[in-house]
Amino acid sequence: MARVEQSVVVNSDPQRVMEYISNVQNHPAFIGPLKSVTNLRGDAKQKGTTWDWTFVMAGVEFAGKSETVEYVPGKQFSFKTTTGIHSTFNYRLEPAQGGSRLTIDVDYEVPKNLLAKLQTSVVERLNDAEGQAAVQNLKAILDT
Amino acid sequence: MRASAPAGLHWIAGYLVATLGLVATAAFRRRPILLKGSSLLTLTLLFAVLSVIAAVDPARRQVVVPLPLVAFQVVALGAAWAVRGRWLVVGADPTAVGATLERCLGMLCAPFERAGDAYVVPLANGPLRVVVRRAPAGAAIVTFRGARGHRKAALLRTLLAKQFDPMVPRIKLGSRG
Repeated sequence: MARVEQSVVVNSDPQRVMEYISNVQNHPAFIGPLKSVTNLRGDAKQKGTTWDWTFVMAGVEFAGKSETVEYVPGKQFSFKTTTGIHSTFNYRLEPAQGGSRLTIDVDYEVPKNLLAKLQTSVVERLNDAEGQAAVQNLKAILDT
Repeated sequence: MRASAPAGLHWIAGYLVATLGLVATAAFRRRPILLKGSSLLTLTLLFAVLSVIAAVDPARRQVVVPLPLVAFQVVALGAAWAVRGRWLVVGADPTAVGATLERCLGMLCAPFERAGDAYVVPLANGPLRVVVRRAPAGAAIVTFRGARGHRKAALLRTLLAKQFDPMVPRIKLGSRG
């Protein structure tokens, strides 16, 4: 299992930041390669809620499904991808000077089949440049 | 470089078939298609460079570009330059594109005001004006003005572009089972 982490201070209170992040339909706004989130079945704050996603990288679309793992108001939102590569995205918030410190960490398995290996490159890209871009995008969106 | 007789018409025909063909095929796709002016400029530049390379005469060590082709390239490059900042959405009228734009602005926590066919978004380095106008055949033209270099303006462009299919269809992989 591999793991990466990105962090940023957002000039906004934790409740507002978590409300925004836990609305998974907002995710295409700050995750560059994420094209769409569709078929949200219920409230993403509820454990077990599922949705479909589509990533685009190098002209190729990768589709899959995700599921909410945990939601703690103002503190934490976690979900896992349940098809293709298995990964867990964890958004954590804590009060910080000037607003909230937002930390995104991603755990993912090294896949066994070819399709999942292709999808690994999506997650790895998100971990590095895209991960850093995602937290900076969130800052641009949520700074007040 | 010197101009010569009216040869090279095959380049002009090729360019017209490529560009008009792309727009025509977009009209038959099921989902709205986004054609970016910047992509047209890139395609036109590529066409101009390739046609000049093809006109190289190594024996005489000179480039012989037919005069009609030179004239056509000047007009095509000028037109492509003029529309480089515009988007053409085929398969969605301005009302539908405006509704999509408003949804994207909501996702970016970006308040806006309407001013005619423009959406004005106040940002730290000045307002961003997004104008959505009617185009022939039920299409829409989208223009962005101002707020250059602002991250939220860049995010809006990226997010709005994601709402439409690209001109060239993508390979699709993965399962939701």
